[in-house]
Amino acid sequence: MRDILLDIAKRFMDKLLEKGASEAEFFGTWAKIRTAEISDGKIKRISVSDAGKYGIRVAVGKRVASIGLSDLSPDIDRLAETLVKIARNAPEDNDFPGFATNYSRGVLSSTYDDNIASLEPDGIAGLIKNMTSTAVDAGRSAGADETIPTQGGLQVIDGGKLVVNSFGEHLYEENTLLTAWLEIKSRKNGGESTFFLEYGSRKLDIDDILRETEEAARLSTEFIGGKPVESGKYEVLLYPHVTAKFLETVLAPAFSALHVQRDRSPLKGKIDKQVLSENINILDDPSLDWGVGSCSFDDEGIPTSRKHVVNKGVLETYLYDHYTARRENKYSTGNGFRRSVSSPPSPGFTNMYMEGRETAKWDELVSEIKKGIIVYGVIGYWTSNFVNGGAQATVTHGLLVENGEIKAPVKGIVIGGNIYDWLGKDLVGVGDKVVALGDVYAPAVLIRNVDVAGK
Amino acid sequence: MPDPFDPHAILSYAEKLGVEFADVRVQKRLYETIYLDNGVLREYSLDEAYGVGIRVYIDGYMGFASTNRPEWEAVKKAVESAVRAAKAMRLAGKKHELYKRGTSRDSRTSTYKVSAEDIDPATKINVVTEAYKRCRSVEGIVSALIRYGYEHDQRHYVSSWGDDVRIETRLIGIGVLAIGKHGEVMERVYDADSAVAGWEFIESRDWGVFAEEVGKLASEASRAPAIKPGVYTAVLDNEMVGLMLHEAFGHATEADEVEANGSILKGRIGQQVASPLVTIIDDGLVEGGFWIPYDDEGTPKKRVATVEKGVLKGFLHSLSTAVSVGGEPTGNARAMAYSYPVLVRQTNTYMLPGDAKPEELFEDVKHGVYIRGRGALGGEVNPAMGTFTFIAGPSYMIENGEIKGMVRGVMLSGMILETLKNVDMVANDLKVRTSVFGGCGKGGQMVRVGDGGPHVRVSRITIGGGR
Repeated sequence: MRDILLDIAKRFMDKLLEKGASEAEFFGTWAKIRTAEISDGKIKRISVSDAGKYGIRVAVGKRVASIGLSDLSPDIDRLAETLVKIARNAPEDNDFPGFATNYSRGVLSSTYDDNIASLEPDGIAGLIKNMTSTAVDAGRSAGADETIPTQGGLQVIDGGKLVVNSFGEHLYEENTLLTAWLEIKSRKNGGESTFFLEYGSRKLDIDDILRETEEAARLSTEFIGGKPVESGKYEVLLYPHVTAKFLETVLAPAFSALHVQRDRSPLKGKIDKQVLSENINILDDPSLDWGVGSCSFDDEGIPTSRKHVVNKGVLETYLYDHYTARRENKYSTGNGFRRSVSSPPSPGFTNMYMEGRETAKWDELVSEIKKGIIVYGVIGYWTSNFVNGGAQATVTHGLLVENGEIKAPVKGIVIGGNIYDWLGKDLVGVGDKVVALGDVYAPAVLIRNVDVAGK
Repeated sequence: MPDPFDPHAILSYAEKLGVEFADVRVQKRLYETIYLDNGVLREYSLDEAYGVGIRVYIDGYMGFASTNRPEWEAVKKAVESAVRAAKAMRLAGKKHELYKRGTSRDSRTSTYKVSAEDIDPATKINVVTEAYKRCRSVEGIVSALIRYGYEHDQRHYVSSWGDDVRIETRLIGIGVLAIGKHGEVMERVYDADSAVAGWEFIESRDWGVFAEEVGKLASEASRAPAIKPGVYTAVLDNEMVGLMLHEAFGHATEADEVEANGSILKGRIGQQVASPLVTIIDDGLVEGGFWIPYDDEGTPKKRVATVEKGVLKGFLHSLSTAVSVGGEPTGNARAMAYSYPVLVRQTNTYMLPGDAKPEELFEDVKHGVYIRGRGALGGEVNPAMGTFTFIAGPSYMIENGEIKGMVRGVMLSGMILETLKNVDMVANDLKVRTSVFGGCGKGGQMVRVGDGGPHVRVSRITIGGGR
């Protein structure tokens, strides 16, 4: 597929220059995807897809337009004509610095696993069967009368990305990815509850998948009969996956130089200032082996690098792509990623990695809670507001804790506050285990003064 | 050699491989985006996709494959992959039977007057630029993004049963995100208006006025206090009701959730699950909503009442859940694109209007909240735990029957089996909306939906939020 995409790219570049474009860039991806989905403990279907797609951005002077295609035998003459016409009609962007050049690779990490690339439908069916029986056994060991993996799936992908510019440069990289998700329902003493497993890695590690499945099955028995608690202020301990969800939604976008330059980041003007607790470090780390966000170059061919964005709570840098960096006379930090193949790049993390400088074990954090809630599962967290740091979610899986002891399951409450307070003045402790959820790596955090809307 | 994306040729090839049933979905889709960020044209893009998805059944096991490689050899390989996938399911698979309905043969196009593809790019850029200027002219607005979106979707469905259905849909709209700042407080408000139509929808209104209204709302919201967390009596406007029904109830009526043992509504048909004032409809052809005359299995979309006067009447079905869960196919099997298998999805979800005038809902509220949908971010549900949440736009306190000051950061939370029982008044004003910029997400697939209803009063609902 690399050769097909590269051939299309080169033919497009030549044609666009011929039609009057000043410069152009090409971004292509392909993926071979195999997915098995389950329903009520059994495989419902297996699907296979094999597709390539690509986007081309073109500039006529400082006027830019783009096109996204999945057609692998495109009518290049017609499309190049249309694209150049749209660009000519676009208003000038005086800040447009040209497309990125000087392609090269930065940090190298392991991102391609032959064992994933060679998994075929029967191998995937075997693996998911192994997961569902592990879940059923683990539920039973945790005392459930019945445990059912109700819905879920396992997906393996091998694919690649290609960037090309009209200055004769190109870079190509391949990777693999395995994701698994499983909703596990358990019944015990006439009640029922669930837990949702979310797993992702670029490496096939069956022991690791089964370990996480066991943990999720055990947790599925913990929340039976959950009820809202009284409204008020509580201490809240966020399970690492929940921390990751808040980080991704409400904190990560604030580091984008684009949002800073467009006046919608609360971190504007805060370089070298204390923005979070001294106990917090946040890194952009593309070097993590098998990390979902690990890569050696970004979506515009710029090398990636490992760096602190927050060090001891102090903001050290924003994340830049080529466009935002040139506006400040800087070099891109290798963080230009695209929402879709035809989108312009915008700054984002490779892997976002948060750690505490002083940490505590999970049990120690629980024992410190006087009156609080351990939050294991949330919905609606994605509506948290990065422009002001407002963090909010409805708790689906929580446990009420009093004086370090777990008292009762909790659900149907809203937790709310501000992420800069939660990871700042109201931060009580940080867990020692950093756990990956997609490309966000986060520990458990214990926070005080959280607003809880309950009954 | 046949045209690689000729669905009949693909179907014949699948049938030669000994499948019991096959269906083929060919899709061609164009999506045009214009994205103006703080006055700078950040993106003008056209996305074109063309490909085929093939589903096969062998011994009751289902396999699915898709490709966008326009070569007959690649398409044949995809059909063979689907067959291999179905056979691999013998290890731990579930057999499915499809409900045998009558044959569908039809070709339908949504109404439009002027194709947006015939409009010059400069004219389109001009519309978003004018909207941007008006939004930024509002005092307190520090940042604004304007989007134009246009989708032209052509789907062709054929099956072993002789079905042959072609559906062509155009959806168009404009979205505005405004960020207001007051002192250190920043607040964002997003709103969009879309219609199943052509360019005439854009010409039918003044988008400068629309953008200015969104700007004013964001500016005012940045000055408004956050709501105090607690339990309130609430009046929900039309948009909020739609969002609540979609999340709080709609998902749990999707029969694939029921089949998987993942819905709290399983086994409750005939039971009172909502107030007697509540009747919930799923309809593919309602004014203001998205347009779905047939689903992606070629089944005509029926108008279904899932809840009638508070009683659960039935679920939304695909051909396979109509057999496994029991019921008739309702035309709710939908896929995001050719490359995805169908799931059971809602279409346009709304509540039937009642008798009260909207203003009567406020009259005896002593202390409550008027929850507004404009600027709402959406919602989410966990249908197995029975918990849902949704996030309103800037809203207003109600004191002694009167609408008072604005509050921001309104997040509502409730239980599927409780909240709709607390509906105590339903107004007589119905409004349904859809969007070209979003839709509903499930299983990694986003499909266009619509939702709405009349103004509704809920006696008790939990409200919290960020600050």
